[in-house]
Amino acid sequence: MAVIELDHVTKTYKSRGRKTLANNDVSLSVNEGEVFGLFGHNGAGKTTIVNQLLGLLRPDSGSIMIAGKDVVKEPNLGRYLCSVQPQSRTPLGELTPRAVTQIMGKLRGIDDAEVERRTKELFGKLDIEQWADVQGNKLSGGVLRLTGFCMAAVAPGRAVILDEPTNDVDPVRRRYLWSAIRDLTRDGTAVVVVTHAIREAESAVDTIAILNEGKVLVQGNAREIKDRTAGDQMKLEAVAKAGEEQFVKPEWAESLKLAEAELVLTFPRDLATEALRWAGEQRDRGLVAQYSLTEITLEDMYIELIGKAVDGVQR
Amino acid sequence: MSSGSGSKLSHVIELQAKKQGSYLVVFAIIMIVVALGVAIGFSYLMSSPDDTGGGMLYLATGAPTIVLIMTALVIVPMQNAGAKLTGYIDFVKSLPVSRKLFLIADVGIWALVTVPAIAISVFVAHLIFAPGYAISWTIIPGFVLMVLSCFAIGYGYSFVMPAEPAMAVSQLIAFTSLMFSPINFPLERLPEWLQSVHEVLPIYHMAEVMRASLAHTSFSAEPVSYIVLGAWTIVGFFGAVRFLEKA
Repeated sequence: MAVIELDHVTKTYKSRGRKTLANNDVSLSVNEGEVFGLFGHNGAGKTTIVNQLLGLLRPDSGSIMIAGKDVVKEPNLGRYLCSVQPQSRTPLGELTPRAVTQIMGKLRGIDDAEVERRTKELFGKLDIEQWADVQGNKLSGGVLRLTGFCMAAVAPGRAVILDEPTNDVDPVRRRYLWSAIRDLTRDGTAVVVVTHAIREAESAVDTIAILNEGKVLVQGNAREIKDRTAGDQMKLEAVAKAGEEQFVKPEWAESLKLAEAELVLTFPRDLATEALRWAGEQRDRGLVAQYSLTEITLEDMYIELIGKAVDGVQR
Repeated sequence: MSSGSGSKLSHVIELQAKKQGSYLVVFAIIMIVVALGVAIGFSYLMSSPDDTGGGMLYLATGAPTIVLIMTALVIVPMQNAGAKLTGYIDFVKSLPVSRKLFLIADVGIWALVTVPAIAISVFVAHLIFAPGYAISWTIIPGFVLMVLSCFAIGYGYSFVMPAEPAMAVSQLIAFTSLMFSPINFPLERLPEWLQSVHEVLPIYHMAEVMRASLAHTSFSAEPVSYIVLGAWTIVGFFGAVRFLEKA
């Protein structure tokens, strides 16, 4: 069942007589119990979507439903139905992670004992107990970001909205965080992760939507989209030590690109041994340094899609 | 609206009080110094402390008004403008509570911050100068009305205006209220045009109500002062609430 449904949402900002189309006919659907990745460049319209869900902005047209409630008609409902991670620059002043997380839990109406248990559980899971009682204005960006996550997760609504949850967070705690995000979905809570860290979100999201200049370029199951666009392809990445003229596209490769000393070849998966042999030869000839064979990632696909969209606009 | 919103209010108060924490204490102390400064320091400006024009009583009854104006019309608006710029207001607006609770909690906290300064300055001024205080029961409703109108205007303009101009206005108020407002001296000393301006602005009326409450045997406030303050209260809170509730 869909927890969040946006239907043909359009939002324009007007400032000093200039109009900016932040959301252009956006339709999205986020289901119960799924992690939904909302990807896009800066200015793609991601935050505008979040602010409309929370009733901080009103769309020009279109409908937004959360858990069956029309939040365009009743903009005050959104923030009761969704819990949100505050923007990273939100100052906590002298609030400690423990105090602010507990206050958020109590504001959502869960009892003191449960608030305490949840807070302890989350801090333990993210391994931030040592900062639990340090004032917010003395905390590092990463710990603040994790605190923001706990503020949203201590008493999740029907949906939890996380805005760039992993920025500034160290690699070890990032893993804890993704696992904590998955935990949230176990009772049917929908989680929307707004991010441009696609590579790292790739394995953690179920469904994605890619936004570019206010429009949804693609949305659906992450795995399916990858299979559809990348198909059975792999890529060879290598550090180039020679100029473009030195490289000739081998027959087995479908494409060869060299940009900023990074050589990338794509090819069908079953030709991987050939690709490896070729890379070894190039290295022996001193044309490349280290190289690797990898899967086509969601990020590759994203960059290609955004690139196409930009080309389309230019043409 | 039941006990649920009551306990929610207490959580919002906890949020706001803990966020500002020691800053509130520091600020309460600064306000005590400011109030004593106005009551005692300004007395040096006068030719003689036992000035027969009731000058000392003007200063002693003006100090509490200065405290309220500095807090509600200067400091709090600066804070609000900053909170807007850092996204804290958006955070508050996204909390699962009625946004009016934020206003109630914050006004309550800041009003409490002014109480020690007002009480101590009145007490100390009385000990040193015995300027002729006569505290009337009207101090309670009078104080409530002044607090409400002051904070209504402070929240109103700092929410409705964009952050940077609001900061500029707060500085303008700080300067003009100290120098060009009939808080510490009678209205008649100002040029006529400025007198008419002050008939409409709230500052003069606040000072009048405060004076009538603290020294009712020497001063009285016209009903129009209460009406003007009431009107500013409504306009200010209307603006503030409209800003908070705006989607």
